[in-house]
Amino acid sequence: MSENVQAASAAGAQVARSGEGRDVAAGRGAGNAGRGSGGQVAAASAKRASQGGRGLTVGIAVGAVLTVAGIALWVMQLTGGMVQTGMRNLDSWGAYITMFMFFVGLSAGGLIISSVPKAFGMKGFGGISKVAVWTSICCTVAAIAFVVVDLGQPLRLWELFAYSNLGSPLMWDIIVLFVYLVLSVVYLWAQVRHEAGKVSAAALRVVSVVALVCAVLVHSVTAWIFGLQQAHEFWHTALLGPWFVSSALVCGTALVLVVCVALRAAGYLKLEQANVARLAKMLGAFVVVDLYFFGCDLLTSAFPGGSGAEVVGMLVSGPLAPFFWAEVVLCVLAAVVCFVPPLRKNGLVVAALVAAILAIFCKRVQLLVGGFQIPNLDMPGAMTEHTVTNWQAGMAGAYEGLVYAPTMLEVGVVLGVLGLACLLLFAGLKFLPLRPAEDEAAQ
Amino acid sequence: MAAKRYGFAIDTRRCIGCSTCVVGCKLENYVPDGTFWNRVLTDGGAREDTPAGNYPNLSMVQFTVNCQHCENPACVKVCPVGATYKDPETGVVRQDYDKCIGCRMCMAACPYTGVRSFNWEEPSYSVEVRYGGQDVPTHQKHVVEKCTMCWHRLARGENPACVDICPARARFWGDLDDPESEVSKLVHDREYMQLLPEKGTKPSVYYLV
Amino acid sequence: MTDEKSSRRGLTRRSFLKSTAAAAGAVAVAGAASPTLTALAEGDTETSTAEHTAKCCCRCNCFGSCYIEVTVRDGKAVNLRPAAMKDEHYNRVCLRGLSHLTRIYDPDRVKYPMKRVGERGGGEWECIGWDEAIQLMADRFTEIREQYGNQAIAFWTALGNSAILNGGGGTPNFMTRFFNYIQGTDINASVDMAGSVGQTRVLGGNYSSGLSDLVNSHTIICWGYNATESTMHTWHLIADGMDAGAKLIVIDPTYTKIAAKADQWIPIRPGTDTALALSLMQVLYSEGLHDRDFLLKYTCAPFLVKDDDGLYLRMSDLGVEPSEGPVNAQTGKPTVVDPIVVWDETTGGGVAADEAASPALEGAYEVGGLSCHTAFSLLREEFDQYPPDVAESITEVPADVIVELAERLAEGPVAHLLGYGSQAYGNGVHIGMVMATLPAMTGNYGYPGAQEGAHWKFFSGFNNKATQPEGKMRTTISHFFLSDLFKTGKLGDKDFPLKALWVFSTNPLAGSPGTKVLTEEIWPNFDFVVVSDLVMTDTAKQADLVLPVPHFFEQEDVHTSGEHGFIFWTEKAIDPLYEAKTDSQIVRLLAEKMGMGDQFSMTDDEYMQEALDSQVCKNLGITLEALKEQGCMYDGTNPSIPAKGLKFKTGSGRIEFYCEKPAPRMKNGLPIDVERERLPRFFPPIEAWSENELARKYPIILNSERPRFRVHTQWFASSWLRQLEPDPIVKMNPEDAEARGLKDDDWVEVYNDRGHVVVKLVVSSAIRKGMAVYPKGWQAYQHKAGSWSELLSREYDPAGINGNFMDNLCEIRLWEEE
Repeated sequence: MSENVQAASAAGAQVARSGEGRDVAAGRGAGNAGRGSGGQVAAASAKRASQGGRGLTVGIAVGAVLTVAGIALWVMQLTGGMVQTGMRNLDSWGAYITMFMFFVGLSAGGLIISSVPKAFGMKGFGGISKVAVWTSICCTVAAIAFVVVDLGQPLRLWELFAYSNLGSPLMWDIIVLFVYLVLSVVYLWAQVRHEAGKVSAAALRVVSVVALVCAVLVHSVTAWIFGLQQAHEFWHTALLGPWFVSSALVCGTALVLVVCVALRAAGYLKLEQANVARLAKMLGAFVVVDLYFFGCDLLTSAFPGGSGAEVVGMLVSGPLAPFFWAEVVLCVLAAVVCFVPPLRKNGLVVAALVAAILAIFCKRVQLLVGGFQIPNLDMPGAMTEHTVTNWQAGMAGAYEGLVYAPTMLEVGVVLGVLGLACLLLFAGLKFLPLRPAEDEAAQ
Repeated sequence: MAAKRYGFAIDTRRCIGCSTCVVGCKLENYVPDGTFWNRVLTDGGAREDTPAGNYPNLSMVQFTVNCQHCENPACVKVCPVGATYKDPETGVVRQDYDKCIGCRMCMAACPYTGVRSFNWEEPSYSVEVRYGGQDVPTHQKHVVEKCTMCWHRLARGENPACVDICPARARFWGDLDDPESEVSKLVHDREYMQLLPEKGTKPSVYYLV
Repeated sequence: MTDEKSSRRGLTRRSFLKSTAAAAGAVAVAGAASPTLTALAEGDTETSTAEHTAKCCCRCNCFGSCYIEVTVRDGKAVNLRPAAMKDEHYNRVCLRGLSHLTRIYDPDRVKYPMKRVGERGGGEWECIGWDEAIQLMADRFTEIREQYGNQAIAFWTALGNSAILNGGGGTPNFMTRFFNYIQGTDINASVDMAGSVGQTRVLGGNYSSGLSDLVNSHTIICWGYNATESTMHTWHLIADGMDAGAKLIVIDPTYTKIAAKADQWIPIRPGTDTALALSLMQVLYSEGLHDRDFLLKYTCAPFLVKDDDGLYLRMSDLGVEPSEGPVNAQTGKPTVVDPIVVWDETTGGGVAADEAASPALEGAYEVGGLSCHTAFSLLREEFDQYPPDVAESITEVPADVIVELAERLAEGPVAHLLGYGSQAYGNGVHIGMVMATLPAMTGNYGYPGAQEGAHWKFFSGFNNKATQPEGKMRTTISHFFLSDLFKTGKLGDKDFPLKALWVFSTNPLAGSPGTKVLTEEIWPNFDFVVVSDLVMTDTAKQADLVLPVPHFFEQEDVHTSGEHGFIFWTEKAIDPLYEAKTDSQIVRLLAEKMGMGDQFSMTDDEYMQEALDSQVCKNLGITLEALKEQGCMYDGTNPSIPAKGLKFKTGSGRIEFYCEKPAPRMKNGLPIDVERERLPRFFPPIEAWSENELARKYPIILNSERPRFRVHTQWFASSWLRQLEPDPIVKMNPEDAEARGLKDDDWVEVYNDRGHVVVKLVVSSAIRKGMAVYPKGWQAYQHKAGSWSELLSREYDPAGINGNFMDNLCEIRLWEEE
């Protein structure tokens, strides 16, 4: 069996490498792909490769362009000064750290989805594991990139390893992220090798357990960057660790599923609807858990009617209300679609997935901006252009709307990092053996 | 030499929020445009120099807020490279500009928002001469800065600049561990309050009320 | 590290606590720098550069006269600290003083003489050399004098810089010497004078004690005195007084910072302080708390005043010939001794005041066929009109508060600290009179803790002859006379053309009332205008020639304080920047070209020596050498209690609350109502009064405050201070703002018939309803439109001839940008 798989995949790969859409013969054979006997598999693979090939090439190109543009803007940021961002002394983190949180979540979630079945010896989700891990790796790289572009002195990055303060949650996060990145790559490699028979199922299981733990840890540690800070009441909660993990599961699962559904539509891989449904139901469950944590936190802030009331007000009716309500609505919609079978038709499921991702994005914005939205020292004083984003409105005015909003430069750099993630994703999809083994076997 | 625990006592009955300490700090420390390490905050109405209440039942107090040089500093804990650290001999929370990677974690961790400033651009100076103490560390772009307790002056046996120039004679400074110091006596004899004590950072600034 | 830096410069914290002796316990790090700290003193510094210090006086017209130690490195001023004074109470500096570097190194400083190109006020300038500038001035001045007479050259000055060599204002400086010699016209700035007119009428001068005396006061009352903003350097002395047990009471319409610090704040209707003071006197008298003996002995209370002409009854009226007394040092002539008559209750007749065994305090008497009343009876007629309930209806201060305050006045020594708020109304002369009279009711003069006054004074012991070569003198007029003068071409009945103007040490087109009228109607009458200044002020922009002068720290001089009675030698810390020349240098060059160089050829030192060559200075040991050596010297005792001995510089030597021959502050103004001016009386302000017709159109009383960011208009461009206060603002009460649909941070237009200004609104409960308060001192160009001084009235009280900065009405609305 394995030899056939090897042969088929070799053939497929060969065709894919040589084909690239120029092999007319392979193309003509495309229509029979699904029913395939061995010979037609090669043709089918070639067709898929060629279609996927073109799409992926375009994706790679676009990613590369965005990346280069992003780098240019980043250089502009460093030379012209970070004053070109919307961040200021009283709101000293912004879009970059928001996206960092978001991408750690996307990444952790993807890996958890991939590793849980293997770790617990359960039936998988149709072999999308490698794609999931690769997606996760791309998100990890993006997350690290977001930290780097946020730094004032990126050339001093080496100091993180020379002068590490091991008591700092940020240091923990750096360490865990790098370990996690390495581990993700090892995990992917282990899966590929496992499929080639070079790595045993038991070994793979060990790696997957470690990966799972690491994934949970990664997002917990990211949570602790905020959750351990007594300075911001909005952040300082024990719930933040578990909550970040649940949010990660929501957006990570949704992302992996979106990518896989898109790849299925592009003909890159096969994905049975049953697996989609299973993943969607899992997503629904994760959303419910996340909403549960959300509700707990809100209730805990609101009930005493003390200083927490300010937090609740800010979220429910204050400057962050759009993000708050968007998250609530999007989450509910996503959960409903995921749980109601008639609604789980393809189009709606995709909408639910996107909604879930956006909902978690809204949550990240709430957390980051919300932490700065309520000043600890709200007594008015003289302000300069470095004090707060909307300094000319004075202390009261600066906090009336959102205390922070990104500038075009930040949006550009964010797009650049997203471009980098896409570049990596598409390049990986194109050049790495990420297709599900079952697909290959079926060919 | 025994370790000291330097701190401030600021008499809010005398402080009139004139900002002389704000400007004096800027002068002494060659602080760039747009940045002040020390600020005057008004405890009263919604705007500076406005009171709380309705005319004529009004109240207004000024606070000057600089780095509180906490005993349990949140910033020191979180700096990934140890660029911010508490000096064991003096209790001053110091900042090493050369080590700072500009991640601004300390700014997020510090409850006293605004005492730490980031140089969002190349330090610029509307006054073209190199003013202030000669031995003040050079300011760098894209690192975090804050009150140094005029470390360069302490090294010469002098007081922090803001203490020497307050026209209201409202600022006091010294070793909080020395019961005979002026600061210790004031904290012992007078009623005082501190900013955000519930955050648990144990600030070394006492506001006499 | 050099030695200078390791020694303790300036002061130690210990010395501030009055109660502690030399500290037992160590304070901070001991003098010898701890080796570990020194070793750890990090920072990437270059090898240290040599530094030296100079002691300079900041002399900007806040009267603080702070002595500042300027650190100089590589020929640049780099750091500032308070320098040690002989009396450490006055070791101080403020944020303005510490911001001098922003003025010295202001990139927009006037660097070269600049000649106007194009229209006046058009902003086009040509940089010219000094030779050309001086030649131009000499030619124009000479030609104008020849054609129109000496008086045609006018100058306008105030206290932007005040010292005895350079600068303007009241000190005998080189410019004064020049203008006296050419017999030009002094256009008096006419600011902050009304209160002093009243005070001088009653006391003969300023008798406020040094503020370090406040620790002896039982009560400290600030009347319209915003010490914590305008003169923050005095606040610590008031706080010391409070620490020593004094009760601080602040009387002010606005809840200022000092009101917030006070034990009691008495909000008062603007412009009615005099009514309050009269009521206090009424209560003191009706409760028998007045000091009868003091009134009889040290005031004009028992003096008989003739009913017919309102003059004092004198022995000469009774047929006794006046005799000759000692020679008057000033005039050189013998004094005339013609004693004033009082009613002696023992003898039952009129006798010379000093001979009466028991003078009558009150009553109507007939002496020598002349019916008279005692001055005190006349005073009583005044204050009896203001029992507390009447005063309440005028001042809006509750009657019980008035009674309580009056009773407190009798409990112990009171320090009445008079600010410049109340005198800036059309009724300002009388606040000066009543404030000098009120303390007399309880004998509150001449001993520790007791004082009254506005805390400005100028050392008057210089040799004024130094400014009067060949005895020549200038003519003085007020700028308030200029409209009429230019309309009629006459001063009084004399032809009086004015053609040239030299403005120095002042900025009238920003700071004087009614700048629109000044700029558009009055200014064009001058054919040739020269302005000496550091920066392009509103006034400089309207000049034909602008001359760069040095900053305070770029010139040496002798400076006398307006507040604390020290005289300083102020050093030159650095050379003047660019092409700046001092006033004395300019005058020398100009005089040479005008053919009068020999009168001005002495060196700076020689001139200063001459100015200090007076008997008073000799008695105090003040010579130029002594000053240079000691840095600062007292001009008298310290803390000074000028009223000690209770001999006042009035005609009678007593406190003359009844002024028999009131005169306007200057001649050639509007005629005064003599009867109005004879006693402290309450009159409503000219404009800022809700009963006025105009108040229906402009219901808001407009007041200014002197903010900590500027002294008048100096520091208007200081980059550091602009970072602390970015925009010109106006403050309003929340109710007034809401009624007009205005909210915080709105750009609003404040306007009346005289002009307008556009500023940012700050809604503040500190502001009394029906008022608006603005921090003054901005230049016109710093506003979106208009400027503050446009709105201020040029109407003046004939007696005070003073700027009525507070006596104005306005309205405020949201600004619609066209």
